[in-house]
Amino acid sequence: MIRLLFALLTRKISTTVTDEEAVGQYILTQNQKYFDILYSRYSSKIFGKCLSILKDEEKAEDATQEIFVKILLNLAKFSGKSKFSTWIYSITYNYCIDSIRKRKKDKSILVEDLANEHDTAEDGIEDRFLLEMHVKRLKVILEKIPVTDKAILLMKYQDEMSIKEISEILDKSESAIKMKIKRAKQKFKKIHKENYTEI
Amino acid sequence: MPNNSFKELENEDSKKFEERNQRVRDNINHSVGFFHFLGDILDLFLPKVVNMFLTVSGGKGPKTDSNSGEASSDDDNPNRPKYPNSHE
Repeated sequence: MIRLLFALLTRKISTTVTDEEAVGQYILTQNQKYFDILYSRYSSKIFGKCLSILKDEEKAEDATQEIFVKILLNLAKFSGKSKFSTWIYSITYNYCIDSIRKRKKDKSILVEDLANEHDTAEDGIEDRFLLEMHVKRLKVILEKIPVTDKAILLMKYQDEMSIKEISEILDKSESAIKMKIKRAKQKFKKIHKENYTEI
Repeated sequence: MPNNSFKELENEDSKKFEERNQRVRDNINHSVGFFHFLGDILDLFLPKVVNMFLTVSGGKGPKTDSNSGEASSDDDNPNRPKYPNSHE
């Protein structure tokens, strides 16, 4: 009975407390229930993103664990300038990109292609083309696309982040991000064409 | 509501987490508990280690109640009798 009441109370708190309030309360009180609220809201999403980028369930599980420890140890650094979700997704994407970079030892993974900087940001590929694709096809294409392009597409279409938010996460200018989105969409369409001929 | 295959993919991937949820949560608690333990150890012993180094390097070390305040001022007083209960 007491357990049931506690569960109901916790559920009530978890639905009413915003992320930012839970962070503030956790820093003040170190009460586990506030961490549990954040964990229950974001753990599966973080795992999903890690899985999309790392392509391995075991690695995604380890990454989720390490990302949450990182979040907990750095919670006091969350300034509240951006949304809490944006902040933790930035940790997630940067962690995954770094771990792939370490694995491949490819230091040039985020280097700008300055030769094409004069391109316009318009790509002529409608968002609908990506958003209405069958999930199985989407999965296949995302597995073949380079990791930074994949991360950018996930930020834009899965997390619905603004260009400004993505630029803050990747520490690039907004025009560079527009360019990256354009190229990512072009690569996406190219891989789609190679794998599924009828467009 | 417009279709969003990216959201569908997110939901699909998130479902795979259910069986791992408890294990990940336990591991996080263990890791954070370990860091708290390290923090407590540092809080407890770091000041003593610093004092020890100060003492070894010839510094005075921290002031304690026994050698501060009135006791030290009495020692400095030249009129204070050598033997308090004696008549000089």
